[in-house]
Amino acid sequence: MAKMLLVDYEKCTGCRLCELVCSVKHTGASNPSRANVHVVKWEDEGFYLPMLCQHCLEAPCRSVCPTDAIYRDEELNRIMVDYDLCIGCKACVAACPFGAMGFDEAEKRVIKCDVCDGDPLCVRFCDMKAIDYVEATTSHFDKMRDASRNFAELMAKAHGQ
Amino acid sequence: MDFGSFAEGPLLWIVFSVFIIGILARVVFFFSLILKSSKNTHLRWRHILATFGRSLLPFHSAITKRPLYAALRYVFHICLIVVPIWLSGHITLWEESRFGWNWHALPDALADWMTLLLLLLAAYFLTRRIVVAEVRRISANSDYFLIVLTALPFLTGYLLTHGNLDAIAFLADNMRTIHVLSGEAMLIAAVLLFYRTQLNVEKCTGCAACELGCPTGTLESRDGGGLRVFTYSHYQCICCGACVALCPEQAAELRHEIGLERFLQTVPKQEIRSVELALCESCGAIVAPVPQVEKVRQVITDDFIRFCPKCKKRHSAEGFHQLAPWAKKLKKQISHQ
Repeated sequence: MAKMLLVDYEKCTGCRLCELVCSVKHTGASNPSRANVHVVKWEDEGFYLPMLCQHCLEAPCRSVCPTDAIYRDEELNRIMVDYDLCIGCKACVAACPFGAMGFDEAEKRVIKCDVCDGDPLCVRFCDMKAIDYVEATTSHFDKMRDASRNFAELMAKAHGQ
Repeated sequence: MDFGSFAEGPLLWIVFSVFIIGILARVVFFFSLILKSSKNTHLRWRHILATFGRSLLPFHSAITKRPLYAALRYVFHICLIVVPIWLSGHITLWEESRFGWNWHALPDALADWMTLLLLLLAAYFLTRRIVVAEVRRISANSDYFLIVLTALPFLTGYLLTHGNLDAIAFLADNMRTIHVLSGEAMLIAAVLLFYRTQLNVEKCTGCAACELGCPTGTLESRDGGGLRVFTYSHYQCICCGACVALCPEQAAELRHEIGLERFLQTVPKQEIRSVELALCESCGAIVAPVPQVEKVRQVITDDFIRFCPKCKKRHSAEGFHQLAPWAKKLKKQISHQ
């Protein structure tokens, strides 16, 4: 069974350790701006939300990629970038609605979450398990679907449609 | 001494020495450029050499874009180099010269066919350049001139060996001189032959993938003042075709260009394209060039492309933030205080 990253904002303490370990794992440098996960904070309310790639089923980054460098890895249930095909046009960066696609200025290439090939470091270092790597069971999918439905409604309201 | 024997004698030797010295100078320029670039972090001489070598092979990636045209171009250049060097008539001349050099010649029939093929292809390239509106728009006078100049020695050479042009007395008498002179002009042009990348304004989205792929840093882009400006440092271009191969819109085109200034490396950086940039609606950071945003909008349905990645995170997190029941409660409390 495929696994997926599950975020629980109620557990997140906003320590941003996930950002640090992610950048160390992927770039060798401890630099949160080069990480694939970012914690968005509302400090006065204590609301912290780690934002990372949703590995969408119908991924906008994948549909705009002109060279089909972005593909779905069914085995690990993730969206991946094939750097041999990627030309660095950054269309995916513009397309991703979650801002999960980044561009690493140092390495001159796009970066995104790759679930660390099945052993996500952010999960290992998150003591609260605000980010968890769980079996993609129906109940989790239902939760995600509910959230996205609410989210879509909210966005429609926000844009006055 | 009349002009004909001057063109075949001393002038020919001058042209040969200019050609050899010029080509050697360009090789030196090329390697000095590579050494200079290798100090830069992301341009490495190994990468430059590899890209250059790949571009000489017939199966490099630019070809997959327009396979037929690329194949024709490749055949054209093979004929262009092989026929003059291995033509039996030319070899005889070398044998008679003071060097007494000699090498195996191509069979005459094969040389004839290759010449005809080259002339046919030259005619095709010329017609294509005139007829196809898209190509005509980006052609300069020198583009037409270059094709004619390249074909002329082959045409006159073919007529010399086969032609029966006694009717036109002037042509028949001076064919040999025209042949030698045009050949000399072609050799000089070869030394001064450079390349230039053009970005088709109608197709280019300004994504700057070509800048990332350019192994010598010839193509550069700079963002500022709401514009992305592409500059081109002429003398650095090695005609590897990386920009053509990478461009997802097929907007990049490599063109031949003859210029003494480029040989002397006095041409400054030239601005070849500027694209308007779409800016983030909430923070003003750069999102993407406007044509690329429009292209992405055709595929995706949501409206988050108005924001930069950082603000997108904030805005989509805001959605979850408002969904959180306890946060809502807390917010109310805070606003009450």
